[in-house]
Amino acid sequence: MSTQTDFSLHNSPLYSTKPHRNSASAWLLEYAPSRYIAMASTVCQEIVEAPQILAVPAIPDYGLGLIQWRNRWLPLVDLHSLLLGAEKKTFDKDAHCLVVAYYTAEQHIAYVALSLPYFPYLITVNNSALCALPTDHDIWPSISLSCFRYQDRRVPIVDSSRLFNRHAILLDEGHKKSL
Amino acid sequence: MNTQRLRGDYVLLRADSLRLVVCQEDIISIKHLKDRKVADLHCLSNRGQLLSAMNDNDNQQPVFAALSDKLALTDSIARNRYVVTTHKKNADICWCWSEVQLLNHVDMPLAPMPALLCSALTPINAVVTLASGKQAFVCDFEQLLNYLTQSESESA
Repeated sequence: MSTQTDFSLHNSPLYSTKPHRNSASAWLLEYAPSRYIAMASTVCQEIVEAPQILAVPAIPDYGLGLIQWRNRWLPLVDLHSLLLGAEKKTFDKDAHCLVVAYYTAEQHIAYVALSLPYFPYLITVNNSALCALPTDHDIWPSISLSCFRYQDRRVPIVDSSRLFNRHAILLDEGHKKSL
Repeated sequence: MNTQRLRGDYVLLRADSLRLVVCQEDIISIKHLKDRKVADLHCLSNRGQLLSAMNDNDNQQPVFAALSDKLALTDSIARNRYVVTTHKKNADICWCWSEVQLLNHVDMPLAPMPALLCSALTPINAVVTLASGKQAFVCDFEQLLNYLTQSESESA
């Protein structure tokens, strides 16, 4: 399976890209030092610098609050904590976040703001860089479309809908370890 | 774009910077503590004490509780918590607030809490922006009690 095919797995505007024959563009998100995921370029909407955060009590550990974006309240989440349960970092006033779109289980488009310690950047992924998923955590097969090698690191290409719906489902089922 | 609205009669309960909006019909009374020293009040400062008070239907003395802005029970009743409400659910418990404001016949836009920030225990259902420009969280008081007695949040 090629990266090119993987990006077009979802026949929808969010996932439709027009990649070159042997490559596709993706946003590289460094969620911890030298730890990356990638997301399809079309799901990443905007980098918001120094957003104003509304603190919300009694939310899951990975949650940092709400931010206002284009007249909507978006959840702001710590990506490292959301992915791997890492302890969330406090969000500095001048920090940035990346707004990402996904489809809810009801097929509505929803948005999430991801807190990242580093700026994301757009890269071109060649099919020749494809590799197996990392084996350090069992989350990757359930949320990843594919994987490529970047600077000797395996970078899962994460399906935003699978990632964010997975957490909503887990929370609904009461599987969240604690608040 | 969300077009849901909050309509009806509500009460704004402020605990320092935390603003909660609850249904007016869930509230039995609103009183002022002007003649009492708040330091002398018997304060429910942890989950166990709250549970005991909720299960004890023959409380001889009124019991008091207050919330921090992180939605946790406080260790004591601060001096600025002089407005007290009692609620239909567990009416023996007096809740102390910095400010209580009636919101009659409101009709304002409401933003539901994103599913990603909710759990089975999350008592906050939505966010509204008040006339003052401040945000408040719409919550169900029974859900709030459920959260306080079941979550692992510690007292502030």
